[in-house]
Parts: sequence; C-alpha cells; structure tokens
Amino acid sequence: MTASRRRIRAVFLGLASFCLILLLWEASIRGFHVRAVVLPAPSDILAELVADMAWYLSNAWHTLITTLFGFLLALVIGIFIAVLLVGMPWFESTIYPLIISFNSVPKVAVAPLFVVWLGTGVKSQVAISFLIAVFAIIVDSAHGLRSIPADVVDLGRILKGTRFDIFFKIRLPCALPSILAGAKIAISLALVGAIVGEFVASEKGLGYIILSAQGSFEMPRVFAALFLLGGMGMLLFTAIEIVERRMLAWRYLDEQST
Amino acid sequence: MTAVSARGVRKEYQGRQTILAIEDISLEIPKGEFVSILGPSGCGKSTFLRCVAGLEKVTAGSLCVNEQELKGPPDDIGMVFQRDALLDWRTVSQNIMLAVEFAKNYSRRDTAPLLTKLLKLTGLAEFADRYPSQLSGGMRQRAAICRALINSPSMLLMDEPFGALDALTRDQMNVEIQRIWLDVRSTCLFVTHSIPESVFLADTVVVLSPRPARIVAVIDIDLPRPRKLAIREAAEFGTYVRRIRALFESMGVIDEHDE
Repeated sequence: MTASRRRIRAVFLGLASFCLILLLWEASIRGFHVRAVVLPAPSDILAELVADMAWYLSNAWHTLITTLFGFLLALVIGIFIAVLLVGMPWFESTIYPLIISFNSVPKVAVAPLFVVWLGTGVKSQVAISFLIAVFAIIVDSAHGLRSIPADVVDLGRILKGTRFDIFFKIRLPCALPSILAGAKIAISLALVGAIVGEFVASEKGLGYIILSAQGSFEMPRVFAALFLLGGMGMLLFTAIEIVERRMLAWRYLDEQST
Repeated sequence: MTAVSARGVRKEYQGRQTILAIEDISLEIPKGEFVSILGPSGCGKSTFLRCVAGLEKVTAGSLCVNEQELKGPPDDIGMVFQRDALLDWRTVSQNIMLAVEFAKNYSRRDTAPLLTKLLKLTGLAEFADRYPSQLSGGMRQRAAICRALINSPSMLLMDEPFGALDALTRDQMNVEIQRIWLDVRSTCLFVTHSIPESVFLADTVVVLSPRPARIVAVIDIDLPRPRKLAIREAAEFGTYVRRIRALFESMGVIDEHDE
C-alpha cells in the first residue's frame, strides 16, 4: 500500500468513527429523552451552526488569527531564546531558572494581569496565547540545538566555517526536527491560550461564545463553538504536519519510494 | 618539507582525575607520505590525530603542521571521522560541497570538475543526488572521503574511517583509499587498530603503546604500489605483520597464553 493510500484510509477511518459516535450520541439523546439544556443532540448543534453560520465563522476567524499571532510570536521569540540559552552559558545560569519558575505559574492565573496592562482587545489575547505556547518551543529548540553530534561540531571547526555558516548550515537544520516537534505542541497550546484570553475578557471569538452562551444555558451554542474549536485545532495541527513533511522531506524518503 | 612535526607532544585531560592520554610523541612526517598510526583501542592515537587537526590543544611540546605552530585547525586539511558525519538533510553532492561553501577562496564553479572526478573515483556518480539515509555504510564513508578531498587539501586525516564497516567492505575501502591516494598524493595520516590495514596502506607505520601513548616503533613498509589485496598473503607482508604483532605481545596487548 502506498503512503498516500494509507493516509486516505486513515482519514476515512477517522471520519467513519466520528460519524459513528455522533450517531450513537443522537440515538441515546432520543432514546433516553435527555433534555437539551443538559446535552443537546448533534442534529440540534448542526441546526444551530447552520442558522448562524456567518456569525460563527467570523468569531472562529477572530480566534484563529489570535492563535496564529500568538503561535508565530512564540516561534520566533522561542527559537531566539533557545539560541541564547545554548550559545551563552551565563544566560542559561541566570535567565533560564527565571523562565522555568515563571512557567510554573499557571498562565490562566496571570491572564487577568494582561487585561489590566493591554486592555480587553486582541493584544492581551495574543499575549496570553504566546505565553502559553512559548515554553514548548524554547525547551524543544534548545534540546535540538544541543543535540548536534560531536563529530559534526568537529567537522564545522575543521572546515573553518564562519559562525554564521555553522549556525545556518549545521546547527539550525540539525535542530529543525526538534523545533518542529515543539511547534506541533505549541500550536495546540496557542489555541488554548487564545481561548483563555477570550474567557478572561473579550467580546469576540469562540471562547467568548462559549462563556456567554453557557451563562444563558444555550447549550447547542456552546457545543457548536466547541465543535468549531475542535475542527480548528485539527486543522492547525495538520498544517504544521504538512510544513514538517515539506521541510524534513529527507526524513520521509522511504515512504515516497514504497 | 615536513607536513607534520611533533616534538615532545604531551596531552593530559584535566578532570576529577588527570588522565594522561599522550605521554611523549616526537615524529616527523614528510610531505606526500602515507602514515598509519597503529595502536590498541583507547591508546590515544585518535587524540594525537585530533591534536594534529587542531581540535585539541597539546599540554606540552610543540606541534607544527606545514611548518606552522598550531593554533586551532590548520588551513588546508581534510578530515574523515569514525562515523561519516554526513548531514542527513543534504544530498551526497550537497554534503561534499559543504566544504566548498565554508571555504573562503573556493568557487562552486571551479570545483565542479573535481566534484565529478571524485564522485567517479569513489563510484558515487549515480548516487550524487541521494540522501545519506539511502546509502550503505561504505557509500556514506566514501562520500565523507570526497568531502574531505574536495578542497584539495595538502593533508588528509582519517580517524579509523572503516572501523564501523563489515570486513569485506573494509577490504574494498582499503583498495579504494589507496587508489585515491595514488591519484591525489596528499600527505595522509590514517589512524587504525588493524595491523594488516596499517601495513597494507602505509609507507610508514607508527606503532603506539597502550595509554599513555608513546611511539614504540616506526616501521617503513617497503612494498611496491599499487598493492593488491592478495599481497596480504605474501611473505614480506607477513614479516611486517609478525613484527608488529610481536611488539604488541611484548607490551602485553595481545596475550595468547592459556591460563
């Protein structure tokens, strides 16, 4: 079986099991007469989604943009901090413990501060999204930058590459698999951060929908937003996987040839 | 002209316990010679090679490469490592050209004919666009040898380059490295712990003691080139091998007594 056929099969199986769960869900709601305030049926949720499609999409768009900004910021700053960590021992001994201790504080607890500092707009949501995502990038990038084989380091010295050459042609590509592994975790965390930001203070986004609809017991609305959120999370994760496959094409050679 | 001139080279590693890797090595290697550095595992022979490569500082003594006292890796050397140290994300030819990209005075265009020649010489021509993960161990090491030679270095340093290969591939590589060397004629320092390999390849075999390394013997190998693998069954070859083995026995490296 070729790789592409295997992938199509995996997607098909995933969709099939998802549909099966929805069917079971629908059947048990009808069979046991569960009230919609407790748990709405998938058909109700779908109806709700379709009825207000444009409104849902514009709110989802808001969350998506917040997530992407938070993620990209985390990626750039995270890699930069990782480079400093690996390149400068004094940075690791002075700043890194601070970063670790800061990361141990639950970000949700810090979120209200950002509202004070940056207002209730998209800025504070991006900041929270960034903050939750950045640590994964720092840790994985630093790990990748450190795990360069000793003989490759020697090779760089023998070939007398400039620091610039050695960084961009040896260290960074060597670390790329780890950086992308970190990015996969970070993209999901960035989405979590965006929602947390919207929970704390926002008048837009899927997080806002969930919080406000929950307040008025509009359960189909809560679930509609949750489904969109799940879909968005999968989309973002898949996007990073596609980027990974492109950038690390040399790792997937076997799959292409079989 | 001497390519390498070592006088009283000593190398210690400072740590909780100071480890003496090289006690005293004094050695002159003329330009264009193929020298095997032979010693038991862990004797400090690789350390000596790393000192010549400028990757390690000597603790005492002086070490000159191309008549210049070493301060870091000298210009104009190529090195082949125990494991090939190829970059996985570059194709064979891109890996070889890394050495050109890093060098200051080389242009890609000028080295193109040499790249073609080296690929042909090592039988890698068809594999130029393959990635390292698609190659066998022997082919990977051939690519690493090409990378070490692409800047036409005056000296080639090899640190047990065939240690990780199976016996047959290793024989094949010995024949090939000789053929390549006869073509490029750069000075060559070849570290190995195989007695037949060292005799087969070298003009001169430098025998080192177990750690801390000292020179036990310097043996000139007077066998005509190009040498064929069958020469290993010849009487003169056997004489060299026996002589070196006797040295190792006297140092207690090889012990055949049943107890």
